Amino acid sequence: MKSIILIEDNVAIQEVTKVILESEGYRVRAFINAEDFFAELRTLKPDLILLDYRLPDMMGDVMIAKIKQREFFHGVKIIVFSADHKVEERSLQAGADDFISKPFDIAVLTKKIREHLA
Amino acid sequence: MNRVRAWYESLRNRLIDILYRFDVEHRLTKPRVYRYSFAVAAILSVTLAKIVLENATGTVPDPFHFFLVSIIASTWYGGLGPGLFSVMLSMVFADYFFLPPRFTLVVFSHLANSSMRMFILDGVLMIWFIDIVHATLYRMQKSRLEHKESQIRLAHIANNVPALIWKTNVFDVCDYSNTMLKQYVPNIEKTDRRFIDILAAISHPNDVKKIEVLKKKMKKFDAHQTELRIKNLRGTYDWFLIKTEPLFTFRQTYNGYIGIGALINQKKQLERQKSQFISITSHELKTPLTTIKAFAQLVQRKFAENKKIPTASLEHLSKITEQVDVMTVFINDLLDVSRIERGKLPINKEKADISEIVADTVSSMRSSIASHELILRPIPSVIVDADHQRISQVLINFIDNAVKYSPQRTTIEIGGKLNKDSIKIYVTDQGNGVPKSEQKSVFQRFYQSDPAEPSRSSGIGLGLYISREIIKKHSGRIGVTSIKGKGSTFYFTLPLAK
Repeated sequence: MKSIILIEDNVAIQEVTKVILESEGYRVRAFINAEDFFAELRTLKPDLILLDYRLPDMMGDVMIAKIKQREFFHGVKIIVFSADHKVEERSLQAGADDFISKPFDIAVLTKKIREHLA
Repeated sequence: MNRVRAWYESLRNRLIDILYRFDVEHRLTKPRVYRYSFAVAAILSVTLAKIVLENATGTVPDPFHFFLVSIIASTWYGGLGPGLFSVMLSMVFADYFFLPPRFTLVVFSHLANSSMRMFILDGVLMIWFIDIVHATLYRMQKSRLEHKESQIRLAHIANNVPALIWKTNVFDVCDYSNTMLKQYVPNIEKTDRRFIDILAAISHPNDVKKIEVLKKKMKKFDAHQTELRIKNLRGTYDWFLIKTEPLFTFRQTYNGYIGIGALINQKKQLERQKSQFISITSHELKTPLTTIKAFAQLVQRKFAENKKIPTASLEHLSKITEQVDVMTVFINDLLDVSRIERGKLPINKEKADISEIVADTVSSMRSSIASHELILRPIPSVIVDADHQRISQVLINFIDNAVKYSPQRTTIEIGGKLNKDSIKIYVTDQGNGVPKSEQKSVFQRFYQSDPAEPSRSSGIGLGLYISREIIKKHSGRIGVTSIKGKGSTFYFTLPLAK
């Protein structure tokens, strides 16, 4: 069973995304900000991170750089999703593997995740 | 008729002028009383002086010379009127005091006296001559005063306008600056630096390019207008709308620049607040839309597995998703417009094959358009410098419009034509067409087709405006040709990559 970390500050979006991913058969751990995520880093073994670009305590590009620094996360795919499609380039430059713009299609989300976890 | 009137007025003015020269005026104003009193005082004093001199020296000098002095003085001080008055007074005084027999008043018998006639002629010629000299000098002085007054008036205006005002000489050194400019450049009248350098030094580092443009325009003697941030003495920056214009003398030689800078902090702040508002609102609107769409699709999926759910309900759910997409497009359009206004529409140009961009876009749209048939004509495969997404956005706008404004079951044709150094992409529909009068305005912001015309128009009228801006950023052209009742062709061109 593949495991996905979802970092999203909006509770409603987090909830619906979690339901979608769980219905696809993934194990999902959700966080509402960067601080919580980094606090529990040691206990996590994800295959993929789904990251909202604009978190209350950190911007997506900084976040990606921080994740990439750690050996522990080598080979973990990062997908950024954001309502602001102009951050697409910035997140891809920072090292994200893919970008999904909000509001997203369930089909697109699940397809991209499946592709990256294949 | 007008010529007669003008002639009459000039004659009248001349007459008034002459009358004034002779001081013929009915009012007894204070200056007039002074002038004539001066004439009387002058006569009295020269008479007294002659009597004193006669008694002291025992000689008898010619009285006319003494009176001439008083006549000259009165004319000089008072003009023609007091001058003439002075001549008459001198005749009376000469007759009364100095001409034999003394202490009698027999003026007119002395007119037969040749020396008296000479005296009168001398006096009149003298006052005439002096009056001319005096009037000339007076006019010079008057024009000097008027010049000074107008300078004061101008300086007063310039110093009380809430704007920077300056003038440079031919060496581009500032030779006039108003009070407000001195608040930004304290020692401006003492420095001999070129003004453009001063402006470059006090403006914001990000505005360097604008200063360069201004320099170029000045070299070409062109007027220019730009918005700059200028550092104030508190160390913060103020926004100014700067306008410069070259000055020429009446011989058409270059005579420096005049510049005006209007303070536009408030306008800039409002603009910033507006685009911030749009940007924040758009972001906040998208968040609930994301949830709505995702939940709707989730429920739709669950329903689709369940055979008992009527298909109508499934369709209703997909309607929710569709409408969320429509709203998302609106929000993105609003965001784009606010970016265009700030001059920050992001365009990421890459070398790309235009035929691939068009083919991708058309095939992705085909699935969502059931009412019309999309026909894709073969497009020349050439490389252009373009932002894939943005060009695709333009094409989507064209096709969306074609769908919106042409009847169902008609065809929409998409094609391309290679020109010498550009490629033209067009979308032709079989709708009502765009009237000639509206062909320019369809690309304007918030443009809507005539509300009287029955159409299924929807949208906020931003699509074509954004398309125009995108194509502009690609140095291409955008336009529409149309025949009423037969359909219209929207097209854009892109320069080929070198």
